[in-house]
Amino acid sequence: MILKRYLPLSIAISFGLLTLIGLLAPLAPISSLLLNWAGLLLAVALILGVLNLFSVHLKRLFSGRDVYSGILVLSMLAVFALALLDGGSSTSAGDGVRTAFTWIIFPLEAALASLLAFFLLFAGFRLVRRQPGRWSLLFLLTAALMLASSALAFSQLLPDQVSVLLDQFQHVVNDIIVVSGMRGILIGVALGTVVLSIRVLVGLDRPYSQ
Amino acid sequence: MNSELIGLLVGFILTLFIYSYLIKDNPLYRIAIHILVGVSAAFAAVVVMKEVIQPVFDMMRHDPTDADLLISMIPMLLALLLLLKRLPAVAWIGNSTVALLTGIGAAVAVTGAITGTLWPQLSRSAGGTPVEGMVIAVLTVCALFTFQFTGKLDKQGDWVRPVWQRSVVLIGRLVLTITFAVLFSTVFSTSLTLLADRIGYFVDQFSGLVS
Repeated sequence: MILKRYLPLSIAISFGLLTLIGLLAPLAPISSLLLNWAGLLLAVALILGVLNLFSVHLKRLFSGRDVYSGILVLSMLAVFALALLDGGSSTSAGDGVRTAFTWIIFPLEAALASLLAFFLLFAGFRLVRRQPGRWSLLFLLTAALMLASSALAFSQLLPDQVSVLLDQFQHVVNDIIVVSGMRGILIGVALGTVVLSIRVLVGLDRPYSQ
Repeated sequence: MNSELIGLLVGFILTLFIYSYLIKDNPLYRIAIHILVGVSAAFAAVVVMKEVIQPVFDMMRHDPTDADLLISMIPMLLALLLLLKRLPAVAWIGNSTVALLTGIGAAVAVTGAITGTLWPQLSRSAGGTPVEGMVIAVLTVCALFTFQFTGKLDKQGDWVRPVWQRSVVLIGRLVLTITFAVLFSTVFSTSLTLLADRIGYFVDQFSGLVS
C-alpha cells in the first residue's frame, strides 16, 4: 500500500527536480537524456491512445452497428495499410501516407478552419441575443470597427485626413490596448503555470494517482 | 483519370461535406469528421512509429551491445508499464510512468514559463515612446488585477471587491474586452481569407482542367 502511494510520488518529485536542475543549471546531458525519455514515453502513450480509439470504435461498430464508427475504423485501417505498403520508405511518412495527408487531412482541416468565420459570426449574434449589455456592445463594436478599418485602409478611397485618423485609431488599439491586454493574459497564464507546476513538483497535486 | 484529378475530386467532395454543416448538422458532415479523426490519428501514429520508436529498434538490431541502448531500454521498460494500466489489479504500477511524465512536464513548464514568458514580458519595454511604455505597464497591471477575485462580504452578505480595486478592475475589463474583440476580428478575417482561398483554389483547378 505504501509502495502504491509513494512510488509514483517519489518518481514525479525526483525526476521533476532533476529535470529542473538540468534545465536551469544548465546541465545539458541530464536534461536532454530525461527529455528524450519523456519523448519516447509520450510516443508510446500516443500509439496506445490511437489503439484505444481504434478498439473503442471497433466495439461500437459490432455492438451498436454505429456506421460512423465503421467509417472511422476503415479510414484508420486504410492509413495503416498505406504505411505498410510504403514499407522501407526513409521519410517519416512514405508516399502513400503523404497522399492521405494531401488528399484528405489538408482539405478537411482547411475547410473546417474556413468554416470558423461562420461559427464566429453566429457566436457574435448569439452574444447580443443572450447577454445584451454594455460589455457585449463594446466587444462587437470594437470587432466591427477593427474589421471595417482594416478593410478601408486597403481601399485607398478615403481622403488622406481620414486615413491618418484611421491609422492613429489602429495604432492606439493594436499597439497599446491589445499589447497591454495580451501581456496581462500571458503573464497571468505564466504565473498560473509556475504555481501549478511547483505544486506538482512538491507533491501537493498528484494528477497521476488515479 | 490521373492521380492529381482523383486527389482534387476527393478534396472537393470532402470540402463540400464539411460546408454542408452550414445548412444544419447532417450525416455528410459527420462522415467527413469521422474520416478526419480516423486518418489524422492513424497518420500521427505512423509518423511517431517511424520517427521515434523505429530508431530504437534499429539501434537494437544494429548493435545490441551499445551502452546507449541500455539507457534507452529504461524508457522502453517504463512504456511497457503503461500497458498495465489496462489491468485494474496492477494499474497503479502504470502510474509510475505517468508520474515520471508529469514530473518532467512540470519542470519543463516552470522553465518555459519563466524564461519564455515571464522574463521577456517583464524585462522588455513595449511601445514607441516612454509615455506609451508607461501606459502599457499600467494597463497590463489593470488587466492582471481583473483576475484577482479576493474580496469581503458586506453587511448584506454579498461579495464585494475593495473600493480601490473596483476602478482598476473596470479599466482592466475594458482592456481585456477590447483585446478579445481585436482577436475575434483577426481570427474572423483570417478565416474569411482562408474561405476565399479554398474557393479560389477549386475554381482555378477545375477551370484549368476544363481549359
